[in-house]
Amino acid sequence: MSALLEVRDLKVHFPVGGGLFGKPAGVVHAVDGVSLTLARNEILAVVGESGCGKSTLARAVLGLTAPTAGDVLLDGESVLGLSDVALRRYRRAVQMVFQDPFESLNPRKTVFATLAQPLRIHGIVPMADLRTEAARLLEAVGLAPGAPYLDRYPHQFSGGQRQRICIARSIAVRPRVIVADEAVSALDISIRAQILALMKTLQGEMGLSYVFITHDLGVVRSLCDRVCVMYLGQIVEEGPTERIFAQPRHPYTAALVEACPLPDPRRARAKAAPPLSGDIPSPLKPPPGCRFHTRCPVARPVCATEPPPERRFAGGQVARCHFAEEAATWPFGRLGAAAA
Amino acid sequence: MAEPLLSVENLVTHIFTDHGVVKAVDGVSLTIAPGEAVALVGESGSGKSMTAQSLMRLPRPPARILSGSVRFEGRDLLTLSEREMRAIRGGRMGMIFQDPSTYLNPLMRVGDQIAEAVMLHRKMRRAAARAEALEAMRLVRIPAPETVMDYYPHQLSGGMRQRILIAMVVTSRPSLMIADEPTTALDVTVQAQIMRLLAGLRTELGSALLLITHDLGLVAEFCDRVYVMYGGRIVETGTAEDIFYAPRHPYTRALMRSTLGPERRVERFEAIEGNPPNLARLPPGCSFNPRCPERLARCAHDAPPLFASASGVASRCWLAEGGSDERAA
Repeated sequence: MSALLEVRDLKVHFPVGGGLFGKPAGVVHAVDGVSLTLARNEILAVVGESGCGKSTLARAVLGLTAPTAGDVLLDGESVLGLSDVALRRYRRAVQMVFQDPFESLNPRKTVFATLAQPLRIHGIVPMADLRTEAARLLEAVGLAPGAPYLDRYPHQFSGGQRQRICIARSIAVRPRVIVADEAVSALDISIRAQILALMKTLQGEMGLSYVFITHDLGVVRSLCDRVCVMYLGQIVEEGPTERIFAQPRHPYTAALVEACPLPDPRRARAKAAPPLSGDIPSPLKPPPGCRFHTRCPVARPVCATEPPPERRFAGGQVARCHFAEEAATWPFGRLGAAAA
Repeated sequence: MAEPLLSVENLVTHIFTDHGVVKAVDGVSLTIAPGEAVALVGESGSGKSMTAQSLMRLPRPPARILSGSVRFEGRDLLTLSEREMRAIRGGRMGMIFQDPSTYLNPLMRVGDQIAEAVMLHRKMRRAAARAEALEAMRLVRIPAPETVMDYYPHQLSGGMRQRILIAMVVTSRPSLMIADEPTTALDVTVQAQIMRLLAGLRTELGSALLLITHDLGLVAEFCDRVYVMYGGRIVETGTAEDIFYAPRHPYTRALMRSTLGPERRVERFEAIEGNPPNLARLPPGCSFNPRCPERLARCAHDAPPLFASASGVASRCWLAEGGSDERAA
């Protein structure tokens, strides 16, 4: 399968502490050996909780953070050590949408100025056509007619409209991949569905692929084709969305599914007690063996010493768990269906 | 029905800003029975948080409670003195907020903060109060409470800080816990723990819970009855089953359709067109009418009252007039 975007054994480590001249007190293994592929026209979810490294992964993919090791490839071509020209081409191909539409737009710039900047930098349209193109972009994201909006400032728009403007800015350079970091998490339910619908429409119209970073499994199930689940800097499970939800093969995935609020009173009340206790350990000192063993409800002695191998299942589902084959016997992770 | 624990009638709280009057709470009525778990659901700007704050008489200028009554354990809170009110807040009525860090003193050990909360409401020596604090920390399942007592807030995770706040609340054995988006700042697995803890405390202490949230999943899991708020008003109320399986108000119905849960894949995203209303410039008539797919001509000028149906659901919608539910399909 030809991957559009590929991440190979990526590591991003940050030294911490130690002051100006001192030796670093430790190293945060924010991303610690992540490999993933994104196919053309695919929506890939990267799921995890705070501190799992999903945002650092996004920044590394975008070239905003230099990886400690590993590689990022677009169309099979490594993007590390690219010349300035090639790097610019890469940055045009891979764009970003952030969580907070209030902070990611410059409050002192008009919408036109915000949209014209990438158009100019990448020479997308002749200077004379900048306004027409900017208006067309706004219409493409559902702000129609676009022209009257061009001279307004961000504060004159609602949260949902601002996120539309952020999306317009990211598609301005006609990218191939959009990395969306919690892009709908700050939006109200009614607005969230609007933005997701827009992202799906743009996927069809422009042939876009998305890396969709989120903690919200509800959105993942309806939007994404495939899922990668991250825990403490590593991917613990990945596979097609429907397979992951039908039978999570890693206890962490199962716990996330179980913890996700279920908007259905009868099924929700049949749910098991939350299987996880405690908090995510510090990525400064990840636990030995399986990193999840300190919180895992089904851990056995081997988990504390041996890092789990990759276990492969039908349909391309992969789980890094010593006991992934036993997943069907775990008393959690199937959306309360088991108890019903 | 037994005497309600809390009964709110026609509560009105407005915020007087330079840009006009924000009608954050505009005639809200609700009741909570002893031990009951009730949800107040709404999107941002629906007025749900201001409603919660008004119950505890917290609004300060430019916000002002203009009228209505809040009867709690047989007393109208709006007529009490500030001194009497202070005894109720953090006493019989406990409050849990979204961001625990804001409510904890960063320079004080958490055990002392809980002990202080104890001494605020009961005459007690410090040693006895610390013993109470320890007990409260056990009640909210803080591991190794003897050690954690001497920690400062920054040494604790967000989930643990929220537990400390909940421990302060339970020291007074409240009959009502008001939780305003208590888990919004937390990770999902921690959220599940905190919500289970609140549900468990409800049973152990026999207290009622008012959960203010935008998350319909939490409502489905943890609440018996639901009030749906939109534009500063309750637009629909009923049991969780009614609201989830047979909503009548077009806003509730649309909210249900646009909610994405982990239990099923939705092929088409159904959004509600437009934006939530500006509480300073509410549309005339029904405040949902500009976004309503089932709007009638009269909705644009005639505000509907809350129509009760035989099943106990009440909906602020002309389509629900007469109580029969001919649209249930």
